[in-house]
Amino acid sequence: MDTVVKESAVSEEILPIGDGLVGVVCLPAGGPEADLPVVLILNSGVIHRVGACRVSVKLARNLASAGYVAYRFDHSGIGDSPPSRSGLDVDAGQVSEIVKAMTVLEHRTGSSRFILYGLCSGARAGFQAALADSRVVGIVQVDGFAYRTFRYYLLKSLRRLRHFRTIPRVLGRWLGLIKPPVRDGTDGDMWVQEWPDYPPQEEVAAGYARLVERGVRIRAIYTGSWKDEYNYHGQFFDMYPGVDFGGLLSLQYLPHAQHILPHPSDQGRVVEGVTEWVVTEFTHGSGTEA
Amino acid sequence: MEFFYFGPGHLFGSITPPLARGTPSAAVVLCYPFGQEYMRAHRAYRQLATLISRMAGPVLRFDYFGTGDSPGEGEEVTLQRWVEDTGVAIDEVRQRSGLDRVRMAGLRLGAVAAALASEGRDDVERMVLWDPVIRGRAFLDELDKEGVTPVGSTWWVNGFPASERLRREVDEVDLCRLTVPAATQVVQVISHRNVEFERFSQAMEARSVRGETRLIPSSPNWNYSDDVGGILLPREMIRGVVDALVA
Repeated sequence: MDTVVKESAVSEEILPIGDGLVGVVCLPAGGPEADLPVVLILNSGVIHRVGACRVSVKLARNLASAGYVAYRFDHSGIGDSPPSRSGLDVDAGQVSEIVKAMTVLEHRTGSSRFILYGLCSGARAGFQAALADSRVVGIVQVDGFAYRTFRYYLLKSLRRLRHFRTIPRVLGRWLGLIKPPVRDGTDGDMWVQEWPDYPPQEEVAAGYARLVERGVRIRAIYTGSWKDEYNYHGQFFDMYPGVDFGGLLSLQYLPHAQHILPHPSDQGRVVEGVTEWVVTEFTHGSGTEA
Repeated sequence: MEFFYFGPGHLFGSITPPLARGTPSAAVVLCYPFGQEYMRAHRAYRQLATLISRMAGPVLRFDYFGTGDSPGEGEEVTLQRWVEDTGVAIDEVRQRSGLDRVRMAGLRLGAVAAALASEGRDDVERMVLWDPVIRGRAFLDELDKEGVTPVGSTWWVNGFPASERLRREVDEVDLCRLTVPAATQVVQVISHRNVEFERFSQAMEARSVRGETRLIPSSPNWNYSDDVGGILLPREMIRGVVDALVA
């Protein structure tokens, strides 16, 4: 059966990871190099492995063109993968599947270092898997955890006050006289990821501290769609003031981009930006030291 | 479920094997819609494949060139290539299953690919057109309403490119002019009523094409792009498409 396809600069191969979970590994023209990390591209919400607006495919092929193996797959119950029979809750199940995928890829590529890329729920799953498995040397989180800071509220209020028509509404909200609008549910046929609340901020901060201690490199990207929680470039640092990220953290703030990256220039910024970050941070043999 | 690449274009495909006892009478090919509609419909198609496989033959789903996990860029997508790819998919499922009859279903622009690919063939015994794009011009108007970002001559709609050539090809589509093979039954399954579906029903009736139109009220909002990547699983409609296909 034909499970490999070659394109001009990369090739792709169907690589299942057991329990019916489906994935596609994208390989550089010269094949995998064991001393370079492999990038796992995780599901975003309920979107299947090609990613919102096919960005996961573009990212995988771009990374492979730059010499890195990239793997995209469907978690249980998403895309082409069957529902889980593990009995684990969704979060624990996804971490377990990421760990399993890394083991399969370790056998396939010879590399035992991994970078986890995730948008939205994928950013959360990647974070938890990085904490659980020391083979993870880097994470990319697009619209991951966000906690409002003093400066966030200040900026939000100032931006609203710029439009004087909103002053009565802002004051009304502050005084509790006006309730925020309740967003209507979508139609009954629609299925979206159920989003639990973020974990407590101190728990996430402690997690980042552990990752930094291990030397895990972090790329955090926020889009304008997260403006209700994240509204300025350096907010990430202010959310975790007790964590010394040193030179391990790289931030990208795209205030005009939408969460699912429908605009071609935003797709390019994320795909090129992540690829450049991987190439810069993870050269042959690097990425293990703190 | 088996996954593989097939045909000269190395298209990504999957086959859901039949679970029903006995030898099935026909294999099934499902044709995906375009762009954001493809994203929103992917899981629904998986459900379709699973349900169909319980009652009928093997089900092939595949990504056209330039879409999903298949090779190529979105900017290279053309309707002509979609139709050719669909023909290759029909041949593939026949060859893999050993069956010489095929049933097909397609949503929106996928219905167009299925319908145009069936022209001139004598092996398609039934075609289910799910909320089909009847008149390409109307579809382009819908895309335009969604909000187009032009990049050169390419339109970007909800995150997916539609080249000038693709738009020109779609603009020429009018399914009422479809040449339906004598062996093919056409079932139009619609989520709502509109003049285009009615026009298609009348055109098929006027030409004595075997088939019918079934209304199953459900969400028609395939091209809507929410900010969190929601997908659609219209259960009644999925069941209706299965019924129409395996009847």
